[in-house]
Amino acid sequence: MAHNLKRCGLAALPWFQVLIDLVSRRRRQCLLFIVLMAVTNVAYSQELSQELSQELSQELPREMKLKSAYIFNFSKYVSWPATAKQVQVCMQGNDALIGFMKDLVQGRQVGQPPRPIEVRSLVSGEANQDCDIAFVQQDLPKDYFTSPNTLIVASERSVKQSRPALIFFEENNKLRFEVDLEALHDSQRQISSELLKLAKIK
Amino acid sequence: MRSWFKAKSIVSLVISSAVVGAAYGQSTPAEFAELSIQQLLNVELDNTESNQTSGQWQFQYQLRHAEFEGYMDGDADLSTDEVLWSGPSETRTQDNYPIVPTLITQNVHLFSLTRSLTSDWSISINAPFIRQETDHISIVPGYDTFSIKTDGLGDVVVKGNYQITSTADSAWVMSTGISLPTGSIDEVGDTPRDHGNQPLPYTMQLGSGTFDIPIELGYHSDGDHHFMVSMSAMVRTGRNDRGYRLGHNASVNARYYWYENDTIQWFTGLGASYRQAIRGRDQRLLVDGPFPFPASITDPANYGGKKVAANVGIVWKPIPNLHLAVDFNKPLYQYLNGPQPQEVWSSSFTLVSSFD
Repeated sequence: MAHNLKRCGLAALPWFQVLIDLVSRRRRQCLLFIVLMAVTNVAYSQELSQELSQELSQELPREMKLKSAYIFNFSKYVSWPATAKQVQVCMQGNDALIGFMKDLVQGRQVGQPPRPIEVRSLVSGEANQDCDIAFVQQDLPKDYFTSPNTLIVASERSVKQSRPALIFFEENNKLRFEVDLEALHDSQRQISSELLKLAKIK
Repeated sequence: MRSWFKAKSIVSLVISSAVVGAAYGQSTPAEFAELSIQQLLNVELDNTESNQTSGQWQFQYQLRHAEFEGYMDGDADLSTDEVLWSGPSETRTQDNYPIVPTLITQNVHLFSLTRSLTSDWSISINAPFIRQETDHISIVPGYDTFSIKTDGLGDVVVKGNYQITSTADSAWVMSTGISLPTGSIDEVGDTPRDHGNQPLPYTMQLGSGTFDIPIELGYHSDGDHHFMVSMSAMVRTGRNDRGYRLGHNASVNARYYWYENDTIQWFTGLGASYRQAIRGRDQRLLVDGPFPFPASITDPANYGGKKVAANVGIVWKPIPNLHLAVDFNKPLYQYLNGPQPQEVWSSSFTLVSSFD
């Protein structure tokens, strides 16, 4: 091996010479130890940084975490007005869901030009709200959303009165989504054909 | 329920499992944010964070047993008598030898640890512990029959695994890294060449002695039909301190799966492999005279060939954190650079567990 490395000019590099030395002296266990330490070190540093957010997110059901991740992805496939400085995402749900979604989008931007996402809680009883995307788990009054352009995402098929454009459903133990083209058209939002390809069309 | 199809991939295809498993290992908001729509479509709902396929760490243990008996030259079978040179009364050729291995058994205990880094990337380290034994017959007085055993750490492989693309029902994954020459190539034993310990042939060494590059590419489908296809290769580099290198090798494997119920799954498949002969030679194994190779396994040219094998097996998921699998492999066709001992059968037991 050393002969071949020399032929390739690699033996001139000191670190490679050390490597050759390690092996030729049959100290291969040292090499294995170094590799193991490197792998463990990468893993440990990641573990520390993830510890806090893991604690915060564990009380939220996995299904809701997945829906949050979907909603974040949906926002990437929508053509937002060029003048919009941010994307308003309104969530109907408890503090754990709102907190998880806020953490999920923190520091991330979507669209062209890139803009941040602001997450708000949908407040019952208040005719509001200037939402770009609204995640709805229970039916809301028909005129609840003041903006006709709100892209409504329903937590499940039973949520009908709010006329959602995107609806989650379960299939083979996996979370899917369907698109109501009529409701999407009414919202006057354009979503990418790439997203439509992955959706079930209602 | 098909919710543990990915775990089946873990058993059958390490590369696939390492990456696909990573797509199930999210817990923090930041980790969920990294999932693409395609990956989200693959994630299972009841795959709670304590589920074995969702772990940030994955441990795998595999015991593989293989037996080699009888000889082949090309695709022709040879008897032990045909390969054994019986002495001066018989003409010595390049294809008969005074020493003949009759049965080779190999047991490999493979320990693997995989760590998910992101939804697409993971890193793994594989450490094999090898125990092998060869029974021989010979015409050398005092060595009519004898056995040689070796055991120890083989070549440790460190790999990075990457999920290239995925859809709702399928995924492509690739893996590459480096195989470190941690396995011994200096194993010795009592052979007829001389009294006392002598260097052992290539088959009895535990490692390659070279830095090698493993490359793997895998595809799995979880659609209407459940199957996986994988291609793998080991590219050898340079020559080791004994003046040789093992042959490059490549293989293609395919498996089809049936679901018996929520916890049991059957599979069957085919695998085709190609291996080059050894390049160079270990001079210590040679003897003086016109026929320098005392046994077929001391001739570097008598290594490698082509092989097609069928396999059947079963995967069992007794508890969410544990997958067990057993498979049995039988060669259907072998074309060996020979005379070379032929594989009779092999079998493996695999255990996979993931944790956070």
